[in-house]
Amino acid sequence: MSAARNRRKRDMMAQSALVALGAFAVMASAICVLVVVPHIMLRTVKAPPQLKPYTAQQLRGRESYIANGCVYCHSQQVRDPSFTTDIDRGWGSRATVPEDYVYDRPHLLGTMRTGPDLINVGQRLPDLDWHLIHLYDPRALSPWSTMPAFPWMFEEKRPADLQTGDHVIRIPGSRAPKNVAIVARPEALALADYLISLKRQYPILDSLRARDRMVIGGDDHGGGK
Amino acid sequence: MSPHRDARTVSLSDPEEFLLPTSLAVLFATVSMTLVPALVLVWGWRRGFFRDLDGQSRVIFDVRDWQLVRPWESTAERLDRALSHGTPLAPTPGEWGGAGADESAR
Amino acid sequence: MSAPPTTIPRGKPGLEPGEIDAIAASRGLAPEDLDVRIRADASSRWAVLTLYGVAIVWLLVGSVFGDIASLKLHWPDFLTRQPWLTFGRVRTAHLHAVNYGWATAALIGTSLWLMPRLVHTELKGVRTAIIGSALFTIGIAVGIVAVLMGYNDGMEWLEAPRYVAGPFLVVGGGLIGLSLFQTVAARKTEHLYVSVWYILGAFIWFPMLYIVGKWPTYVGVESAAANWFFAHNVLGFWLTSMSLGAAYYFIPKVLGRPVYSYQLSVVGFWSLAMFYSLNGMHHLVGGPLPTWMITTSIVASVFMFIPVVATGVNLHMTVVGRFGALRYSPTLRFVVIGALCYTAVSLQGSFTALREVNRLTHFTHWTVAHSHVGGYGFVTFIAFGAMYYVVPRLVGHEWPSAKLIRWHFNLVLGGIAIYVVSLSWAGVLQGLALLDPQLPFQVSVERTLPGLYGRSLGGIILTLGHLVFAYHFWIMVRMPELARRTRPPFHDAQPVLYTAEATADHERESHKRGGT
Repeated sequence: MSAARNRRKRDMMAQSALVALGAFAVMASAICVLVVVPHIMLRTVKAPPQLKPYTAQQLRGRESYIANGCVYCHSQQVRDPSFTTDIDRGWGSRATVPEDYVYDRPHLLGTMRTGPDLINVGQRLPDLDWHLIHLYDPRALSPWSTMPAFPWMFEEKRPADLQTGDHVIRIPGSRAPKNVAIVARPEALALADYLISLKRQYPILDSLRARDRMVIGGDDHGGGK
Repeated sequence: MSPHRDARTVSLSDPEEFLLPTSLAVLFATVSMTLVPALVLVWGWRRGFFRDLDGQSRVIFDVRDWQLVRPWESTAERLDRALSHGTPLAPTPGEWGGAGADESAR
Repeated sequence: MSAPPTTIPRGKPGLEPGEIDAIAASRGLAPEDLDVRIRADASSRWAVLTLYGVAIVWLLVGSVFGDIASLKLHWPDFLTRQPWLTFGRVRTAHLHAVNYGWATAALIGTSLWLMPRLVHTELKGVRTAIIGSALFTIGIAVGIVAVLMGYNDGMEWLEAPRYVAGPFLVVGGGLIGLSLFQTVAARKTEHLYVSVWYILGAFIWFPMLYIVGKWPTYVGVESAAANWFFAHNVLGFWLTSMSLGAAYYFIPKVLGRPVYSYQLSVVGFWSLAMFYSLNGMHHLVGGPLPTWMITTSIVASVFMFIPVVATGVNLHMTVVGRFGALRYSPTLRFVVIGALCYTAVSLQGSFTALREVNRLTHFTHWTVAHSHVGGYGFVTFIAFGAMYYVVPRLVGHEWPSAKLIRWHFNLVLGGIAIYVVSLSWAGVLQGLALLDPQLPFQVSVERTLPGLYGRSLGGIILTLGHLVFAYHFWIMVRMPELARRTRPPFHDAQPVLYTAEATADHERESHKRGGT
């Protein structure tokens, strides 16, 4: 009798073990395939010589990009021209490769294009004031835009209170606020600096994607739309 | 998806780079994801876990569940239930997750 | 001794053995049957009711954040003066509140109720589970507040700062898991029903995913791989897993019919585990990752047909011929629609992972609509159905108002239908516009606006439905006198006598069928 009960208990434990260990094993092997093996492969990815690390101010701007959730509307990747029309749209001269992201901790590849792709926005829109005005009030530059405004990154000062070193921006058109000067705070300047640093159009000669179906190489002049 | 591309791509002959052709990775993943669970299932079957699967599906029922009268069942179905499982029981209000007497047996 | 109680006295976590025997004897039931159900429900009562209350608070909070975010997309100058209300933070707060707040709390609560019932023993470590739930909730709240303040770890679904919110989540979740594992270890049933596998699986998988997702040393595109490994698998191995565990219980239980094919349950569980885990890179189709990774995920996404069809057939064939039950059972109404949405969203996902389709839908609102078919149509509906079944058993009486249930159901069904249809349509128009390089980007924005208005409308209707449900839950637990006590509660037994009339009906029907 007791042997049968022990057998029953062993069976019950074996059943629980089967489910628990089986579940663990399946997930562990998936982690190997999609996280560990790629990590080993991607360790060989080296920074291209034309890609410079972000400066301290650009990193602060990147933190602001993350803190304000820019990634939820903007992507930072150009897809292969044999696949789709990102390049025709002027978002880059070549598809982006893993080497382009070696200084990105973490990635900001994005999954929505409520707004345009930004990985080469520094090439298309290199003007600091354009970005500052756009951050203060996107609709002053693009009336159709649904991007949120970031007025708290700016300070409204009376013209009499302006000091040297204040970076004043001029809002065009009827949306300009009256009788105040708009001064960019350090956060706005950092974020704009980060955006202008986004350029990934240098040619890639040595890429992990070489054996993939990628066209690599490309010229340096930006397309713009 | 063949790893061999058109001639325009620059071919690398850098031997220290660890590059994995697509087909090999997919093959390895498929085999390991199929073979290992298959072996585990065979072990489980030999251990007797798949005996009486119908019985296993009844684990969640107690006597009361079988006997409850369900308002959506026809009279014939209800009588079958009564004959198979014994005294029919009236469901309590809220038995099926709802409110009030309109949810119970008529 | 006075007459045995007919309800579980409020404030009392369990009954004495003598009371249980007395109740059973007076009802003519076997004490073992009575004992197991009552003791199981009594043991889990406080943990489950607390979690359900917390879940509903998160549902309301998340709905408000969601409505604000939705309005901002077509009314961008709405609430822009405060940094903590900017779209990029409110959207994240919504995602965390509804997935880690509402859905997680509702499903954990349901799992804590289910497990004792499934293994025929009391919930072990009740205090552990309650403390764990409190810590976990604090962790989610800390994470959301941090994100609104601008602290963000930077990866979608993983924004909550790891060293601030992390300790609460890890310890809290661990304590809840401990309670569940102890309960399974103390089990009395010989067999582990399929729902047990799904719940156990969820609590083994989520910690593994969290460690992978929150690992602090990723750089560049490998962080993208880890990000989407986590984010996709948290849907399949946490939310889906507990939801299917619930569906596999409530559908047969209410119908009084076992699942159509237990073999299919086995196939469904293991194939889900195998294939779902490799899907994550389908969020990065066309992206700067090694092609083999993306191809593996696309292939795995298509293989998902196997578990989805297995589970879908299994659950559908259990209900077929009994769809009339949906008229009587709010639980079935919600859970069956939830199961249908599971099939729909998964097939939609397999389809959308294909490169040619993805080319159109990637980066568009289609993906957001798809995620709501899953997170709302499937997971949330199943949570609603489960709560409708469980709460009466914990408070000892039925829901007070059939009308409020009807309002809730109609509002949320209508709301999610409007939501999904308008947003999917907006996504397709957006995708088509983006694919045509002759059309400036502006066109893709303008063409989505009508769909975005529709989505806001759908979202507001959903929020109204949630308010109805929250109010009903409140009066359910706080005002029992509003419930009609026409009959004694669940552990009672009332035999039904058949009249001569009914017997005659049966004989007539048998003759028609040609039998004796």
